[in-house]
Amino acid sequence: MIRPLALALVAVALLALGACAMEPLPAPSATLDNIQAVRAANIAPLAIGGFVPGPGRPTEMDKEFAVRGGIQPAPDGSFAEYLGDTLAAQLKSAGKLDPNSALVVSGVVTDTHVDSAMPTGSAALAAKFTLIRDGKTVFEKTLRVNDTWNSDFVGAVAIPDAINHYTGLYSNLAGALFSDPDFQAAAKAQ
Amino acid sequence: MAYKARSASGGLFGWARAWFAKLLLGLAMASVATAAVAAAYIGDGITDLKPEDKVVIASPQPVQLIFQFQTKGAPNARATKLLKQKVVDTVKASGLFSTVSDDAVPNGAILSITINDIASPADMADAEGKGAVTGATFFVVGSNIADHYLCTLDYVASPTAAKLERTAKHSVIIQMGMINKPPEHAVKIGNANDAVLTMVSQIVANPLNDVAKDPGFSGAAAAPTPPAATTSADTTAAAPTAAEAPAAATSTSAPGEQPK
Repeated sequence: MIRPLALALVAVALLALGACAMEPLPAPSATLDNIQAVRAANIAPLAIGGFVPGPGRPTEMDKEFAVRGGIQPAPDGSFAEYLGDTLAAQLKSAGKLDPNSALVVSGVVTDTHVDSAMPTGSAALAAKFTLIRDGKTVFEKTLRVNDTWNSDFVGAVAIPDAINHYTGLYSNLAGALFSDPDFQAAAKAQ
Repeated sequence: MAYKARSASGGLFGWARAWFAKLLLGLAMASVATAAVAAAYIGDGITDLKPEDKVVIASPQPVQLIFQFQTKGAPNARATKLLKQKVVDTVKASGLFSTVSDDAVPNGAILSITINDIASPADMADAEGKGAVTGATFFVVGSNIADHYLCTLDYVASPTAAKLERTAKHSVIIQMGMINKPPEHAVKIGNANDAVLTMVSQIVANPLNDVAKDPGFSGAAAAPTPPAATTSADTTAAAPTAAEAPAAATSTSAPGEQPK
């Protein structure tokens, strides 16, 4: 009697601990802070160029990443593209997205990291952004954002927490770009 | 709208998730699942706006709506998607705007609404403990788990206008188990879905109505940002100011009375 019960417990525990794939993230949305940053900078309308993963972890984590067995697939198959989509969402909401603009921003994800270790989870995202005006590079800079949080023992809490904090970095990185004085100067409406 | 409380996939409930996880663990330990007796409540701190309390704007203007649901301060994209339509419906139902749009509008007005599911580490530990007890006792020993929410509503009437901010607090309480008492200062609201949707409607409608009372709401002139007011069970509502908008029905009832 004891053995079947023990086996049942193990089976249930394994089911609870087994890897599970999360549903894809919805399309990124704008934040008031980012829209305000774009407005304050008085930048010209921008087009979004290519966003690709750099070598190493950015490429390894471009399609999906895992947190304690929870697997988060990239929206539309690429987290690098998700960064470009996030920038586009902010610019569109600020009325500054123009696919035909002579100003094109593109990027390479240079670092990406998420860790739900206890007691403090951490995540980081960095990208090298390039702004081209009429075919000429007018801005090139690597920007990085980080986050830390209290990471729970329970996976059902820790996994979504880590995903939320990590994916929140995409909007933060877009904000870092829009707030960068060199970017603002290079993207100024002429 | 279709809404499902989610657990591991990034759901709405912060410490309710922890509670539920421990509950499952308790069930696994017992290897027996017993039907749960569940009921959902919302806090009685704020209520649906009474028609006579609603601000009326003579010439509603278009607005761009931005909504984000957060879990412990971090953006929760999935919950944002699930609840956005309810927020849009609530803003439209206010009658304060001519149109509500995702995209930029000609006058540059933006309404930003953030609902944060607040949970401190102590709250999480408490929820986990209660969940374990309820699960391990086959739902005989009940527990009430509350999720607390803070809504921050920011409005800018034009690109040059000052930001107006109002906040409101609310809660959703899920009751499980057979031996249990109804939570205090709460109103029973159908199931968990109903409770969450009602919470969202009330936590948005109240501060939105408050911000509409501000003279800067019409966007005619940049007004200095007033100190953020809070609408909740334990704090007073935004001090009503004379609305610049004509025919404004200024709310005179402090929140706190929930119809039973």
